Amino acid sequence: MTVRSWRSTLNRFLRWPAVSLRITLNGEPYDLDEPLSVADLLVRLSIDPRRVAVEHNLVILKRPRFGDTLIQEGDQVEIVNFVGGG
Amino acid sequence: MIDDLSMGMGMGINDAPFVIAGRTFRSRLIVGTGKYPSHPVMAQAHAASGAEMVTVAVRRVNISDRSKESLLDYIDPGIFLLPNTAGCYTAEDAIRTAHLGREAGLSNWVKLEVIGDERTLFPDNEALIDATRILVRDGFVVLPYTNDDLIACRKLEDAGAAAIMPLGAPIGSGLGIQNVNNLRIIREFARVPLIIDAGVGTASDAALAMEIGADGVLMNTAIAGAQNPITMAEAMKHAVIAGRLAYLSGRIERKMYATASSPPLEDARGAMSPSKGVEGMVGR
Repeated sequence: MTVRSWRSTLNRFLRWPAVSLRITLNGEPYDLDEPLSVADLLVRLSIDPRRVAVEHNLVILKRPRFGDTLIQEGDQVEIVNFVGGG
Repeated sequence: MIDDLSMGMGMGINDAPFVIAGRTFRSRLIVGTGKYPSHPVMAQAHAASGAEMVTVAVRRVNISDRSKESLLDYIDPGIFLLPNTAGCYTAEDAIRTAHLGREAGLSNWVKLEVIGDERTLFPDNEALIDATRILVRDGFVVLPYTNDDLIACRKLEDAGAAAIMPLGAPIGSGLGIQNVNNLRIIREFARVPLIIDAGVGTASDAALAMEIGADGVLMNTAIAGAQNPITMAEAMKHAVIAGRLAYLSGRIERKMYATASSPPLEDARGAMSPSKGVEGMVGR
């Protein structure tokens, strides 16, 4: 966490081109340009946050935490919703 | 509180309300949301069934194809959602899914399934009981899907289950209630609401479940898989009401031989009647 934020500060300082970071999203590799919050990721995916649950690195997030939970390199994110079932 | 049996049907029986964990339901039919030919058909079937609670499954969002409409757009906001843990084979998995369902739906209710065998979808009762205990401790209202086994049901009650949901037959089999006597015994001993879950094929199966004295019936495939899910949903609504009324009304004893409903002929015709005991002469 500390190392990563240090690195991103350094990246910004040195104006290196945006380094894509890879996460695992619902079991598949997924690339992001920069670390972003869960809320931002949902916006990017056009997913209504009121209808899903999100698990970040095996921790289930409460909805108010979507805004301040940052997704970083190597993170695992699971987004689930309700589907038909009996 | 007056139940739907007396409301709008002009019936004389005041049924006790159907209450689970303090929540009252007017309908004793709980239906699923899976396997319908389309979302609009499901919505119409839900309306026709009169159900006030429907089950839903918790699954990964399809990231690559976001075009699919949300199931929730087709569920009446007045209907209570009961997330299930279908597809979970361990207590750990079921507990995780229950928590995800709680975050997605913001209710602490769960239809708990811990499956023990892929082909039969029979529950793993040991894991089910463990998961029930843990989820109750985590503040959940747990409705476990279980075998038609008195001891398992009793252990689930002891673990804090809000209702017990023994199967009538394997999930989706449509075989109807296979072991009526087991369910009667469970009825006799149940201390929490008894909901017969799975195995219903047609309306008479649902009626039988209610005649045994179940507090409710849960079904999915029997409605969703019918050629006309909407009219089958309506049939199930009537079957559940009919079965409940029959249960409350107290059925007659089963007897080996006939008992005439009409008075014997000599009573009706006095002295003119033929002698007693002649075969074929007794009025029906």
